[in-house]
Amino acid sequence: MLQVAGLYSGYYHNREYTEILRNINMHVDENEIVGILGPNGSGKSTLIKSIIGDIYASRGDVLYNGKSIYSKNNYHEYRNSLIYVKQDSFNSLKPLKTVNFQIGKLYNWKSFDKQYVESIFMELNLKPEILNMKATQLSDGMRHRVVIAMALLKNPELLVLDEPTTGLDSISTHHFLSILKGIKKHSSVLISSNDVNALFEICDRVYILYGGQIIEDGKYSAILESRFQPYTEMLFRYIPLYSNRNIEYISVNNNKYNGCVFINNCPFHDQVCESEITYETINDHGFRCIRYPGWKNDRA
Amino acid sequence: MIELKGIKKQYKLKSSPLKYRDYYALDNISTIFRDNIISGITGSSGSGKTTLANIISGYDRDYSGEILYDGSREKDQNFIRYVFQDPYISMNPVKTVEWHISTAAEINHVKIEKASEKLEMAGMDYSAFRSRYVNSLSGGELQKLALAISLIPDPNFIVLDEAFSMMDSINLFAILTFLKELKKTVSLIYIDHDINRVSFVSDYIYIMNCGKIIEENYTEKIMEDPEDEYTGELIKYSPDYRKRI
Ligand code: SF4
Repeated sequence: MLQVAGLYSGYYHNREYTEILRNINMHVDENEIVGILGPNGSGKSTLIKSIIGDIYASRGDVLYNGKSIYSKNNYHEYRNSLIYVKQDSFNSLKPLKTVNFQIGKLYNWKSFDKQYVESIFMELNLKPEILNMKATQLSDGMRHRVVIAMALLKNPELLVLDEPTTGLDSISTHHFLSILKGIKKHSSVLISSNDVNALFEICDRVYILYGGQIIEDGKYSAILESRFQPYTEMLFRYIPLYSNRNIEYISVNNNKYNGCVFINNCPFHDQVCESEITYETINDHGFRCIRYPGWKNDRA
Repeated sequence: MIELKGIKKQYKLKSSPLKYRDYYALDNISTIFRDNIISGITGSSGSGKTTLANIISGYDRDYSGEILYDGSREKDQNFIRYVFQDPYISMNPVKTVEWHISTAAEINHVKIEKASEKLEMAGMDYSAFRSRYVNSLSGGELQKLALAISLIPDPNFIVLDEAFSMMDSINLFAILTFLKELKKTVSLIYIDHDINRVSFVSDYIYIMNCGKIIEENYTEKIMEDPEDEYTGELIKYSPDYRKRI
């Protein structure tokens, strides 16, 4: 459905081009939930902006059903088949207006059948009464679901969500994620987040982004079973969870910046890592690490 | 030690054109925050966590009840420091890291070397960051700087209110690990809506809901044998990569 092929992208600032993303290859298929996981500054937001066509690629392409989204004719159609929900849209409802009013304002209310709206709301576990409530009367969790319900009214083929669970308590996060899982029956979902827990609870596949490159990707279960890239390994080791409270944090700073994007903080780095690291796959599990599987035995 | 006795804060809410009803933002809170441990407060947004933090740290004086700081109703101005969720509140974007550290050092009559040490402790290399402008720092770096500045006057207590919200999980893990070291010298009140992080870092946990502390206890007891049903749900549903929805 969606395919990102050899994408390079970045920003112009004072006519100077700064490249953020290098050689990104990824795809989202029908009825799939796909996650993009990466720390702040990894290029996640640039990638999302490139995927929705807000910024141009300097090389490579983004294809939707085989057609480039960067061509004017296709772009319009593409933007009609996807909905992008920014992180701050979850708080963008006008506080003192009813949900009903906000839907009417966003789309032309007349274009929706009341029953259709109610059925979508019901599906997200939102009672029809909520339509008459003001945004301030809704809990955080409900507000998140209302925003998603409003997006689904347009029946998008692809839903792109940016950090959708930030700020929610655990109960609301759980309900929200369960609902996303149900949505994939009629729409594919692409989520960008730095929350390992949330992504691995619901995604079918995950791409891990670091320093503007995809450094590991694959089926959620394959990554859970074994990490091929040391950054991903650290990501899983250092999760603030009750069960991890006695794990010691060891910081690594090698003062090295050439070659592998993770070389400066990698506990397993070596001379060979100072070269360009190629992307490899083993049974659809992709990674960039020249020392795999050797580093796995290095661990003390 | 900080002791709260019957802290109440109420607003009048208009329920119909001529009627008002009382709404308790904080409903009769009595408890103790102990020295040299990390006290964690959690609950969903709107449960009263931030309102309580504002009152404890002295920013909000509009409440009823009594607070005792080490047994006294008056507190030294350096007794307690508050680190906000939004680090921009307390910073000047067009000044450098050095300016912020040296200004804080001057106000608190501390040597600059001692002040910059706090930044190193928080995991930022002072020599690498000193000439950086605050508006060029990432959210996580700003939040480390805010923590360091709060440590400069050597307060007895620090209140951290969603103070690391802009950090990714590895950085967060590192800074929370640092807090566990820090508690030997400073008492900490750590507020976060995420029970995973609160239970990772805290020695003792307070669960808030609708303006009340509904349960408080040692972390092991709360996590392994919660008494309140709501606490149980918070734990049961807490996001965990090993649990598949
Ligand atoms: S290539 Fe080298 S530096 Fe990069 S992740 Fe692998 S071992 Fe670490």
